[in-house]
Amino acid sequence: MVAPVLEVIDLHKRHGALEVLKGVSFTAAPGEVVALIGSSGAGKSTLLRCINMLDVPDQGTVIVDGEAISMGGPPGHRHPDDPAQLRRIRSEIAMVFQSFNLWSHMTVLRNVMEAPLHVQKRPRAEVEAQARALLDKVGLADKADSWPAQLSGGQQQRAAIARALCINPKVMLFDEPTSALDPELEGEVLRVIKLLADEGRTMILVTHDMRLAADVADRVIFLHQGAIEESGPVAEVFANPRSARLRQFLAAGGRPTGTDLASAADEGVAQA
Amino acid sequence: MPDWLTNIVGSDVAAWLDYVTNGRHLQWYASFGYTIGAALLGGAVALVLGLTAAALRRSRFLPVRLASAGYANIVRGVPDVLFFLFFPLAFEQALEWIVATGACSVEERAASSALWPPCRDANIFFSTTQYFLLASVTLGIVYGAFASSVIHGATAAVPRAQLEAARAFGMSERQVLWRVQIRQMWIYALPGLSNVWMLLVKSTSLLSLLQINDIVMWADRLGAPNFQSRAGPIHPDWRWRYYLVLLVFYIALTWLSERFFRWLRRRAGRGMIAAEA
Amino acid sequence: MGFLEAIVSDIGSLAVPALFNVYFAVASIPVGFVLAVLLALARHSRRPVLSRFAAVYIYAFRGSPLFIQLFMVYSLMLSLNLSLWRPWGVDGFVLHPLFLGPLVLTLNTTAYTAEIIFGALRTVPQGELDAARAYGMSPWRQFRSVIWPNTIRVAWPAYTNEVVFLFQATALVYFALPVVDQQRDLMSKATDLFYRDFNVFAHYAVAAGYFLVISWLIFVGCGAVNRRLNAHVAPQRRVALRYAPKYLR
Ligand SMILES: Nc1ncnc2c1ncn2[C@@H]1O[C@H](COP(=O)(O)OP(=O)(O)OP(=O)(O)O)[C@@H](O)[C@H]1O
Ligand SMILES: [Mg+2]
Repeated sequence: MVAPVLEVIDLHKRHGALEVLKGVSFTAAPGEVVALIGSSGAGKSTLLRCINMLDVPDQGTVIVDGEAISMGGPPGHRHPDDPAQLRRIRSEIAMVFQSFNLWSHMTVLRNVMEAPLHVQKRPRAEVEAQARALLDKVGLADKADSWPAQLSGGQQQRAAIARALCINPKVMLFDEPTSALDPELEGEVLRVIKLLADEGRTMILVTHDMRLAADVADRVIFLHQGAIEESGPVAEVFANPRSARLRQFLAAGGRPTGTDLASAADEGVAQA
Repeated sequence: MPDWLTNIVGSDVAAWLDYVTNGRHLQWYASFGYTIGAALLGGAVALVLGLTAAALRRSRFLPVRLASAGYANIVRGVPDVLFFLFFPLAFEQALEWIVATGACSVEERAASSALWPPCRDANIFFSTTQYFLLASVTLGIVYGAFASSVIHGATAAVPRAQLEAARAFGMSERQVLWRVQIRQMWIYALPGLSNVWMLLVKSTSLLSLLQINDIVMWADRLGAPNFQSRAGPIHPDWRWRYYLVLLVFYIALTWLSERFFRWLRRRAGRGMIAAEA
Repeated sequence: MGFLEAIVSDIGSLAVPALFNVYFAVASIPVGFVLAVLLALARHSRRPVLSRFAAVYIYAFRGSPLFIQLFMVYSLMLSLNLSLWRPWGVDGFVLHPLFLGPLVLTLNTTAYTAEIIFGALRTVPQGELDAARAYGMSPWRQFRSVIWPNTIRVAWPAYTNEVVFLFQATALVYFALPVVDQQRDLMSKATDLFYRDFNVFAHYAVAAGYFLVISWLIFVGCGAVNRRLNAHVAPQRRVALRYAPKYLR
């Protein structure tokens, strides 16, 4: 068996009284696409943000390509204690946000080049050539010198994906990359994501779009109230869900059902 | 200082109390009232002028509009201290000029060697009270310009839809203005007016430039090194301590004003702005 | 002498004094700006000690009149003269208005500017910051690449007004500090001229004209910078520059 690129062990995270993650563990092998599904509020975004320490987990370990992110501090005040290591590991994990989060004061090209130049400190000529190639790949070659505000949502998200690719990431994290987009703009972004999956990139993909999950993912993880309820190869899980909650979730079309509906399902299970 | 008090607090403290309650200090304390009075009066004048100028800025006649906008912009483009010196002097000279047309004969004018006033009879001396009023009005004129811009902006900030709704219910333009636009204007204007008030309060420190015995003048006199025991214990240059008291006084005044305006805003904005933490 | 001739002659005699006002502004604005950025960062910092200190400084200097601050610092410096400045032989320099004026103006503009920058710091979009952190930027790099460009764009219009106001505030310097060697600024010179011939309208009008013109020049210059800073922003979200000196004071 190949060593996993990403290994998440027993992550716990609370926001005040709310326990958002209750001990989540999973791995992603090289080239594997993992779809993370679950109803709204299940903790999918939090899990993703804990992987690159945008949110610091209260407990647990994240290992990227065999290297654990070093954590220190007493319980309750844990934090990454090696800033240089964290920055290096972060620059190997690319994140694509639901709301794009392009840097609005930089042109598209500069957005793509910023981290390779100033974090990875690679030579400008090489970075610029790669950036232009990537913009071409996502279909934005002509928008290199535009400002983010001049682009449509779909174009912005494709630019954000080019930005993610330009750091040559070992893992890519996608947090609902299409849910801020109008339906007619979703397609262009979905095509790019499929392209990347076919290239054999390692991706963790949070999505509400079950068709996308079925299309591109190798494995599905169903998160429910901060814990992994069910996981397995994509065909198996979708064709034959074992837990009642996942059945309920899939029956509702995988749309964000809200915690109310999810807990209604809980009661149904309890009564059954 | 009564003996029983000296016995209680000890002679050191008593000497201090004696010092800070001597006649000149009491006059100093009284002058704080002067400053606050000038600020309040100036604020009232500024509000009236501000409302008037803002109203005139909506006038149908271009010259009126221009005059109002000119007032607002020129006063704001020039340091307040310039107006503080200019306006009272200009006012005085204007009065003297009017008096001179009646009081001075041609021979007297020719005989007068001074450049101003034209003759001795036309010389005007303002009393302290008159100077105080003049200073307050000057404050009002300067900050009225600021207030007018704030009010003008706030009037324009009232959502058009609110006015259209009022018209849809058959209100006359007058009613729309008074019953809806001006009522709502206050809420938009209050933060700006609060700013103007803070400026006005701080510029009361300039009163001493108008030959008023204000808190600054007294602080300077009381703090200056003195060698006459009549005025209290002989002390070296203590001015910075007195100015420190003034700084604290102004900071406290700002703090109080802030609280007041926050309260006012909450009251005026009932139902329109969420309560601030 | 007719009124017009008086005006023309005043334009000449107030030209050099105007340079003193310009000097006071130029000597205090850059230093004040740098200090203000540091102070705003301290105010924004998560460390309570830093943040409290900055908050108190800003409140004290914004809550009290510049005029009193000038008196206060001058008298404090005077009282240190015998024990410090004179023995060190720096009294001529330290007590000189050309040093003290910029010193107090700097302390003052630092507070006002810090408040403006602090307000702007809080408007930096959290998502853009998240992206910067997610891509492994160091705190300094985050500041250079994301925080600062956003902050300065939002702060610029208010800062422009602060610069204009600070320029106008230079008019106060010589009312609190002594005139040395007939070095006078616009206000001091205009008042001096007034006591010679009591022509209040000519002298103060010309002084006012100088203030208006220079304020306007500052405004135009800052407007050009503002357009650059807003080049990337969609038209409806642009930060407009309005002539409103002292508004945020
Ligand atoms: N900063 C925070 N403070 C407090 N609670 C938070 C915070 N961030 C997230 N939460 C809570 O944690 C829970 C999980 O949030 P999360 O964003 O991870 O859900 P999600 O699965 O991504 O949902 P969605 O599909 O709506 O994006 C939610 O109940 C949310 O309210
Ligand atoms: Mg989410």
